[in-house]
Parts: sequence; C-alpha cells; structure tokens
Amino acid sequence: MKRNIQKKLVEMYQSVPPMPDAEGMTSIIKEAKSIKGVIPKESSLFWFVKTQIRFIDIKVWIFQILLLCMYALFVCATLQNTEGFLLLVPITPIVVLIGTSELSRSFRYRMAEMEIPTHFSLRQVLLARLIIIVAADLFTLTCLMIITALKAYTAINALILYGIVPCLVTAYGCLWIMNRCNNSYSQYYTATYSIALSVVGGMSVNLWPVWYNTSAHGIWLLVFCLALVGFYSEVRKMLNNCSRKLECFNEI
Amino acid sequence: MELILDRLTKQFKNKIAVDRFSYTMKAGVYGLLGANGAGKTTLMRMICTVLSPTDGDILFDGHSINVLNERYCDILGYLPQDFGYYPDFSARDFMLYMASLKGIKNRAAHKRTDELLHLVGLSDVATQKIRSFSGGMKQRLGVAQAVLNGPKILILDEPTAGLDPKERIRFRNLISDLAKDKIVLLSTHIVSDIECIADQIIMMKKGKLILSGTTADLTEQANGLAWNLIVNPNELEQYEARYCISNLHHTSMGVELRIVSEEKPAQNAQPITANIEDLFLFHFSDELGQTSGKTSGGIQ
Amino acid sequence: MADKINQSECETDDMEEIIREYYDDIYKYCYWKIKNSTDAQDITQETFLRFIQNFVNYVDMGKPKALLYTIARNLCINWKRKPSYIPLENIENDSSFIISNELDTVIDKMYLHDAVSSLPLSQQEVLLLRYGQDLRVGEIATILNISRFTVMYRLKCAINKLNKMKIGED
Repeated sequence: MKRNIQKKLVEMYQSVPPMPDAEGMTSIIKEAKSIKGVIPKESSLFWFVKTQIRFIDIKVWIFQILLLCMYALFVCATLQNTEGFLLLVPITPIVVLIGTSELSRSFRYRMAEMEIPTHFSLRQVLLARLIIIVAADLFTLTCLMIITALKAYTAINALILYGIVPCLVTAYGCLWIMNRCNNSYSQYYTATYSIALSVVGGMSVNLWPVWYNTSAHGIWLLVFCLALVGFYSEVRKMLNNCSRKLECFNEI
Repeated sequence: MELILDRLTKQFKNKIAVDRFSYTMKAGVYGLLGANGAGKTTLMRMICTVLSPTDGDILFDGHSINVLNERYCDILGYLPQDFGYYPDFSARDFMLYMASLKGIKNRAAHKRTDELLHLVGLSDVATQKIRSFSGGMKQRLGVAQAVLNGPKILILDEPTAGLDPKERIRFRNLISDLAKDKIVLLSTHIVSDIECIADQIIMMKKGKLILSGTTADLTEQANGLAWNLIVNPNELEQYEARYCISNLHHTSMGVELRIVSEEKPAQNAQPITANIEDLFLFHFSDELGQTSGKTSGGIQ
Repeated sequence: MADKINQSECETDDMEEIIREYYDDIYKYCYWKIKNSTDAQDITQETFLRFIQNFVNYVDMGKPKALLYTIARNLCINWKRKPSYIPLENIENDSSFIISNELDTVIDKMYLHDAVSSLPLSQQEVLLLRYGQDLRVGEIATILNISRFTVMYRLKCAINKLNKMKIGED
C-alpha cells in the first residue's frame, strides 16, 4: 500500500501545467553563452599540494638522491657491521637542511607580495611546500634507516629514534630561526645550525657513547616529544605570520 | 561593481602612511598620483590584502573584504612595484605557477598562459629564464600574471617605472585594452602616463586624498596657475628661488619660463592653459623640491 | 556562503548541459512550491541566472544539482514572503491540464493533493524532493541542510500519515 502511495505521489507531482514561456530555457542558455572567459578553478588543498610538487626547486630532489646514493655507497662499502648507525645521526640534519630553503623562497626572492593576494595565498603555499618537504624527508629518512639496518645490528626501534630525533630537532631549530629572522641571512643561520648539529651528532658516537645505550632511549623519547611539540608550534607560527611578515614594509 | 575605501588608515610605528583615505570606485581607470612616500604603495597593498589597515574598511559590492577572503582575491589582480622571481623559472613556468596559486586548473592554465603571453608580446621568449629579461619584459610578464584569473579589480603599482618611452606607450595601450569592465587603479608619479588613459585622477599627498576628478575637472581647477614669462638670464636665479618652474627654455630673447603660481609672477607674465602636470607641481612642489630645480617638462 | 570544497569540472559547454538537464525539474519544483506556473517559471529563470552569474567567478561550486535546488528553494521562500503573493491552493485554477485528465483521476489527485497539503511543511518539502524531483536522500539532506536520518524520518512520517488517510486504497 505504501508503494501505491509512493506511485500516486510521483504521478501527482508530475502533473504540472506547461511553462508559459516555451523559449525560457533557450534564453537562459543564450545568456550563459554570452559569458566569456569562464575559468575553471579548483580549491582543494590536495589539488594545490599536487601542483606545487612541480614547482619545488629541482636541486632539492637532486641533493636528496645524491645524499642517499652516497650514504648507501659509504655505509655498504666502508662501515663495519656494528657501526652502521654511526652515520645516521649526523646525516639526518643535512637531509632536513636541503628542504628548508624551500620554505623561505617566497621572501628571499621577493615573490611574497605577489603570492599573498591569490586564492591560495602565501599561507597555503608555505603549507604545501612544508607538506611536500616533510614527505620527501620522511621518505629519504626511511631509506637511510633501511640502508643502515642492512648493515647495523642495532634494534630497529633504536634506529628509528636515532634517525627521527636529530631530524626533528633540526627541523624545529630551522623553523625557529626562520620565524625570527626575516632576511636573506636566515639561510646561513639555518645552515650553520644544521651543520653544527650534524657535527655534534657525528662526534657524539665517539665522545659520548653512553647516549647510545638502551638505557638512554627514554631521554631520546623525551627529546622527540619536546621537539615534536616545538616543531608543531613553529609551523603554526610560520603559517600565522604570513601576512604580518610584510608589516615591516615601509613606504620608501 | 563597486569598491569602497572607507577611512582607510595605516600607521607604521611613528609614521602615518595613509590617513583616513575614503574613495569609491566603479568600473573605469583610476590614476593615483603622488610623490614618492605619499602612501600610494601602502594604499594599494591594503586594497590587495597584503597589508591590513590600522583603521577603516574596504568594501566590495557592500561586503567587507575581510569577510570575502578568497572570493575577493579571486577577482583581484595585483602588480607590485618591485617584484622578484624564482631564478629557475622561465616566463611560462612563472605564469603556470601563479595560475596554480589562483586555483586555475591545468588545461585552462596552459591555455590562459599562451593567450596572455601572446597578448603582452612575450610568446617567443616564453621558455627563456626570467633573469634574461629586460625591465620592460618583466613588467609585461607582471601584468600578464595579474590578469590570469580574469579579475574585476586590477591594481598596478608604478607599472611604467623604469620603462623607456616606447615601452611606456605600449604599456599604456595594453592597460587600456585590459581595462574594459574592470576597476583599474594604477599609481604613478609620471603624469603623462595616466593623463590619457585615466577616467579619474586621484591625487595623494602625505597619505591623504587631496584632489580627485576627471582630467577635464582638474584641468579646470588648474586654470590660472600656469604662466609664461621671458626673463633675462641673470634674473633666472631669483625666479627659480621664488617660484615653481615647470619648464625652462633658453631662447634668443632670453629664458622662457613656464611658472606654476597662484599669483602673477611678474608684470609681463602671460597666463597660459594649465594642465594636470601644472596642478601636480603646484601641490607637490614642496615635496619635489621644484623651487630650485630645473626640469624639462616632466617629473621623473 | 558555501564552503564546500568539491571538485567540479565545469566549462561553458557543460553549463548548457546543466541548464538543459535541470530546467524542467526546477520548474516543476517551483510550481509545487508556488502553485502558479507563471511565477514558477520566473523563479526558474532567476534561479538559473543566479547560478550562471555565480559561475563567472566560481570556485567551490559543489554539485550543480544541489546548488540549483538550494537557490530555487530560497527564491521561493522569498517569493512567498512578498505581500503580493497570494497562494493558489487549488489546482483547478490551471484549467488547461484538467481537461486532459479523466474526472476520477482528477478527484483522486485533488484528494491526494489536499492530503499532502495538510501535512506539516517540512514533510511536504521532503515528499516533493523525493517523489516529485526524484532526489536521493543524501541530496535532499544537503539541500535542506539537515541530516539523512531526519530526511528519512520525515519521509516515513509523511507516508504513514498519508496511509492513515487511506490514500492508497482505490
């Protein structure tokens, strides 16, 4: 019976008087055609991130691949089995450094002013670049860890810690510097910081082997958490600061 | 289509760059005239959401641009006064990059890029790196990216600065073509650039709006400000010190001066038809230091 | 202001397709809301005009169907608020189509029509969208900005009420 009702409803609703103006639809179509230059647009962040991959400086990809190859060669060719992880700690800050220059590109090359009044705006540009760089860095890091794991007999969770923590500490530090340093020198400061971290990491294996005992893992975890929180807060600061960075523009 | 600037104010630390600027714009070309430091760039940056005003509001069709956000940026095109470029980019890369920022889909982006590069005369250099471009070419590329998204509002900050006369004329014609059914605001301190193409001229001084009107209105206002006078070469210095001289021409009979002044500078001075440049000089002479300057009919 | 972030591939040719596809449907919908064919067509024209104008600078279009119905619905609501609007409740007033129907089906339809009109407006709305416009529950939910559950609940209540009024019996 309910189906009967539904059928009758459909029938009822179909009984509609014809349109008074038979040309109505044609005139609307004409109107639509008169609009020139309709530009199909997209507004999803996912689409935007995909398009930005193409615009990342090719040097970033080249350096990452070079780094991976050199690391693989070096580890496989020269290192003894137990020392596999030795290089992992100093190399990860360099991986991060390669990508950080992308984040400050808009300011260093004075494109920011043109990028702000667009649909996606500077904020999304930075976010997209960050997402791409983080993804690339994580991929490189994973490869590095796999290569290391092939040689070293360190536990995998320890390897992950030794890989991710220096990475995160570098990233946090670089972002911290870039958020407080607007000019072109920021590149030099971040480079100095990353290289210093790398050197300390490299030396630590010999000078402070106690850092790499299983008992120290708790501290590594703590550093990881702190660096993660710091990184997140600096990312937010960077994204929120986008337009305010230009507040320092003064009339000539 | 209406853009309302409502008592816009921008204060930087101890300097007020734009002071309670109010103006309404409808479709047409608006020329923003003012000396360096008058606040033109700051005003334009506020219109383009690059800077946020200290006070006041900007309304497009009755809606505040803070509410409209991306929808406002979708109908906006901006050419900054001084812009850089990513060094590895070619002209085409640059256009496609800006197209992606404006949310234009791939196929349409390529089509628009080709169309616009052709329009601005950069088709043959589309694949060349921007670092090899001349100033004029760069400016043309800048205009091309500004109109990528088919904007209703076009803001051009000193688009002809640094261009040679031929390029300036080309630019003027390009802007005239693009200006149909749009609000175009272009700023300059070169009067001749906008005299011909602007429907309305807005004069800005020390952050304030001091004058606005059509070329005809302003020329009328300038009436009685321009004088022609021939003086002896040895009197030249005292006239230069006392009056604003917009043009100076040595002839066999003496030095022919075009003086901008409210009162008659000398007994034998002849009143002549004033133009916008005279009006501009009259208002801005103190900022330009014209009282002692020798110019040749233009403010550079 | 819709902040849907949907992917929608529309170009000018697609626009014509959209108009052709939905013009009749929107007209029918407006007729059942306004009960006057002239006004209904006016609103239909206005709906598409707004749709096109929105299109010129469109970014987040969402699905055109949902948007069209939303515009039409809002226009109908505003139309009814106008003091000049006098609801024409009786379908007899559109005499041209009465003649083409048999008398008892007309009476049947009138009875059903009155029964539907006696339902709460919210239920009438979902009935129209579901059976008149053949929209899916999800689509109705989007247009009316309510949950799918609410849509289904209202439909169920409406059908039950009509059932009680013995509409289904011949």
